[in-house]
Amino acid sequence: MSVKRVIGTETEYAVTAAHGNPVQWSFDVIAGAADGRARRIRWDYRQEDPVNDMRGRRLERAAARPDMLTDEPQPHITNVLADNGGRLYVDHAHPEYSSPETTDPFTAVVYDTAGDMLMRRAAARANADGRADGTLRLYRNNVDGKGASWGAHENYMMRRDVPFDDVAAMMTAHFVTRQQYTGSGRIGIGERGERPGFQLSQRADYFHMNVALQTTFDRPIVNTRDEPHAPADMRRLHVIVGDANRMDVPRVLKLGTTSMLLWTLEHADDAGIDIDARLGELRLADPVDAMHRVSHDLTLAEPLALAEGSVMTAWQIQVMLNALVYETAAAVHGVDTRGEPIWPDRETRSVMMMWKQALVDIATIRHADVCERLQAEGEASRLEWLLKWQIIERMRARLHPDTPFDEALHDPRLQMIDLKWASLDDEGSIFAKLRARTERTASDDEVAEASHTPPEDTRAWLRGTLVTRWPGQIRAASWTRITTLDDPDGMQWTLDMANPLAYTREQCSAAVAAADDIWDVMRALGAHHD
Amino acid sequence: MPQEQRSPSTQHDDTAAAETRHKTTTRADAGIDDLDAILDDIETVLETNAEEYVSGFVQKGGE
Repeated sequence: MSVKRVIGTETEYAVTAAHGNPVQWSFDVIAGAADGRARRIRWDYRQEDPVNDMRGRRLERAAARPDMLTDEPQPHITNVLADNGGRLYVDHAHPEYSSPETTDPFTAVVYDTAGDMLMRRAAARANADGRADGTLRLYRNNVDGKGASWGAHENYMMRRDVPFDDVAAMMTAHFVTRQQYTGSGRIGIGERGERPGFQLSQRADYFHMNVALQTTFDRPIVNTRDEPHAPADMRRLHVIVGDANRMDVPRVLKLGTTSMLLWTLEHADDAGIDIDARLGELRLADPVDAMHRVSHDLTLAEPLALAEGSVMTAWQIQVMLNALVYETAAAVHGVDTRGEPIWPDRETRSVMMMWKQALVDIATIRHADVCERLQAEGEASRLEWLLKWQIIERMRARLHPDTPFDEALHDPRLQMIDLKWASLDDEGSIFAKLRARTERTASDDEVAEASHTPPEDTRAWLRGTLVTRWPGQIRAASWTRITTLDDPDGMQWTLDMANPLAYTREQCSAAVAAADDIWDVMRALGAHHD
Repeated sequence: MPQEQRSPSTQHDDTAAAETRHKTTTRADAGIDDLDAILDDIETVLETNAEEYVSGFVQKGGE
């Protein structure tokens, strides 16, 4: 393929209210997301396998901490299947949205943003119902500045025959360095913001291992959870290092560059590239330390120690990764008269142009002084951390004209900018005031449409369509399965949808159009009953 | 002769370049003025008990 592959995102939102606790508030928000008919559809946990490790081991169940066992039925968990094929639910102490499966980074970002709309609507309904006395508020960020962090995960379907060591090596180099254009910016250095300062990424300081299975403690840069929700020859790469950006461009880049690098791993052999040797050149001496350094480094120029003894900056590593994609694509797709690879589709071409632009933006900002950085309108329309920094620095100049930047960050008014940036509440959100200045990759209309319409080219189409048409006839659903209530003859039907690229609109719309009820669809699509 | 011929076009290029520069400057200034208005707006948001707001924003870990 290309940049196109099955991609989905998971966003945990922060939730606040005047009194009570975050677990209750999360239940309140998800209750607000459920309308009468869909609210009793259960999430089918039977296929979840959270202790399966990509490195080929399984964690002993007894050795797993209870919070890793998401396949245990939890008595109070609330799940809502959205009309768009996504899922809203309570995960620990956060309301979470999992997008439906999409097939390219641009569509993935549209559905990711649709999650904000669904959550905002859920909170509004919960408030109108008088939950938490109407004081529930949602935020799209990853840190509270007091030590807690929560996630914004990416999921990519990829070929299982790529050795996992190569995936880990390439993704480590990428995740440590992509922060320069994907970071959403954060006030505070250290997990509790122990040291004053501003850094590129929300999440960097919460990573303490290179490769591991868990996601809630000693977080690893490369997560090995191997729960494909897909056929046996594919795996799902579960990425936990990213920020919950508000801007479009960093999100398309985050998904697009990662997808292209996975494509490169899948095709390096075809291109005659010695991938192990190339990845060896990019191996960091201490990836966790490098992750923190890159995020803390506003000069964008800090040298990172490589395992083989030399040094490179994060930007140089990104240039090398980008060049590796070009080299592979040139060999696989051929080149045009200008020497540009013949990219197989528009989305891939766009992502590669945006990646190049990001590298130019970073180079420009790296060489810019404070005054020039404050004036950098184009770059700040694409780099979220830069736009946030500009606002904080301008406000510092107003409130504390004679105090150095880091010192002035003790002022809670400046810290408030970081938090209010993330507010989903349009009236209080600082980002909402700036959205028009940022480069968009999708229109508000597309996002609104995606909040109630599933993607057409994955199994999410059938899931979303059935949930919309016959919510009262569904007993349970998961990413890979739909189970009906008993039909008039007392039979329960189950449809297995192991392949995310099947059960699309093209394949199923005739069966749905001809059906009077969900059981007609089940019979037409070859579901089994018991 | 060739010089005379080139001259108007050079002049034209200079004018065009100057216009572009002017436009760029105007656009940048407009952008900054704009931003100042947004900053005024943000400043009013920040005036409301920032200290309480920031210390009250407490979450549990996730994922």
